[in-house]
Amino acid sequence: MIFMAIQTFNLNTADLNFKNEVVAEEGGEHLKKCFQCSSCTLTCPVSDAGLDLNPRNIIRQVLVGMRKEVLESKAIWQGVGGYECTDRCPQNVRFTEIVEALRRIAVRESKNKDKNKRIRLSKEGKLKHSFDKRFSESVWLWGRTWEPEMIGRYLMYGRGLPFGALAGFRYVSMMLGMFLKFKIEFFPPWNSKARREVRAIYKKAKKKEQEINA
Amino acid sequence: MKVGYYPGCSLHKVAKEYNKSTYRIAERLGLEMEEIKDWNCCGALEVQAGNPLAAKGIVARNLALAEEQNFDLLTAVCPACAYQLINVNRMMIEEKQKAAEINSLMDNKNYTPGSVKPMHFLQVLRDKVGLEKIKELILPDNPLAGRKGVSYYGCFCVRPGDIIQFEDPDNPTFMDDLINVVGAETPHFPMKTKCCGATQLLVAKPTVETLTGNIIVNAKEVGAEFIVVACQMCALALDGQQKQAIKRVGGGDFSIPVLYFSQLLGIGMGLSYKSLGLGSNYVSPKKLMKPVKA
Repeated sequence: MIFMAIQTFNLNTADLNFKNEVVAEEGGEHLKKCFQCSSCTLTCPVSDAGLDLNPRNIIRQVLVGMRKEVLESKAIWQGVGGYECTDRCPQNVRFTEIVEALRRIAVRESKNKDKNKRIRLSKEGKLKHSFDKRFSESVWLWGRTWEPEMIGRYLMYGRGLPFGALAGFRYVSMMLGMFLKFKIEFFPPWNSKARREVRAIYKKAKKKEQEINA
Repeated sequence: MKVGYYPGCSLHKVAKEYNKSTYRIAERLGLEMEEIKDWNCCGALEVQAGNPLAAKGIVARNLALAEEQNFDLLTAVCPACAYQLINVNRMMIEEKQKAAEINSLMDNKNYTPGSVKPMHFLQVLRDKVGLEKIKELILPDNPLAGRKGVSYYGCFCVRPGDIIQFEDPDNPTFMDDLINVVGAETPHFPMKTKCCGATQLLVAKPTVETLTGNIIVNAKEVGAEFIVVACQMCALALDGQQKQAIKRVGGGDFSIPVLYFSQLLGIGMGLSYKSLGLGSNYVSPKKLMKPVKA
């Protein structure tokens, strides 16, 4: 075990409204039911693998009001969406959905115009957000994902040009395998009807969200 | 029986052998499986991450298409797609206001909540076909009889339990039953439902390699000769990057073939190697194709 210096948190700087902010976000409704039993952490494979993610800890931090610490942490971006925490929770807190809500808040606040309130996304956060964005854009473009386009754009822009793109080399062996098994789709999926209707749905959903936020 | 089939993005090319073998066994079991026309992506977890309302809208569009094309039963073999279809269907049945909001996103389509029943193909096999019927079609002298295999469920087949409502999320057994029907043994496998993290493959590869490596090494320890999966993302993690994953956790030098449950049943029914797309698996299952020496 590694002993780390204890970093104390000054409760006077706590943002007491943070928990309400998370509860208001979709997926965060059950946050306040948590009684800190730690079932989520014990069942989490990512915690098990020795990464930073500790679901119980994050929930407690949110409840206490450590807004900046939570939103800037890399832990909230390490969840893999396995729903094990959600399933084992005796209080039905649904941590997977809470993490999604926290990520959404973090991305929104990273674009905050007020410089003092702006959140700086961690490196992991930027990567995951970039991937989600490329996926979403690919669905908008073709009506479904077209992997070469989505993955190509992610590897190019996800870590920043020009040197970030070099990280793409670690996927070469996997992609070569796919290529040799003829598993790469060379031509874009061309279903204009689905594409048109998906774009209309995106447009309307965006409009509705702007209405709610305004 | 007529069944609507929603393939999802990966099934057409990245996991073409899954698609192919599913059609083959459905044909053998007497299911009329038909792909719904004009389908679009379900959004998986990624669209939902940035844009939750649009994600529900595009799933509802698929449900509306199935209703339009007169399918009562909609099945997907990708567990993430199945989860999205089940979740949105459930949400629209339970919350009327939400249903109206989601329907208002679509221009010329309307989905009546509950008119289509979406489920994973495994559930169709269990509830609509039945183990008895599968048993009749299995050849007793198939090459997998007498071997040892473990089932690996992953996440979305059974979790979150209150939404999927298929099997016990802690110890699901239907895939074990399928392996037993084919004639193979199923040793106790503790990592059966641990997540492999495949959705993060492009974001955090080292993490995924660790999670996957633990699963593969555990399967080897319990004496499995093959792993059966029901998810193309699990297959990509367990099969496509098996070598790197084993290396990451220091598991030694070995490889285990990973089969889809549809390929497992296909081998049991005596379908040909080519028609099940077994050549497309990354770790070649050829060594399983010879009968076990008695």
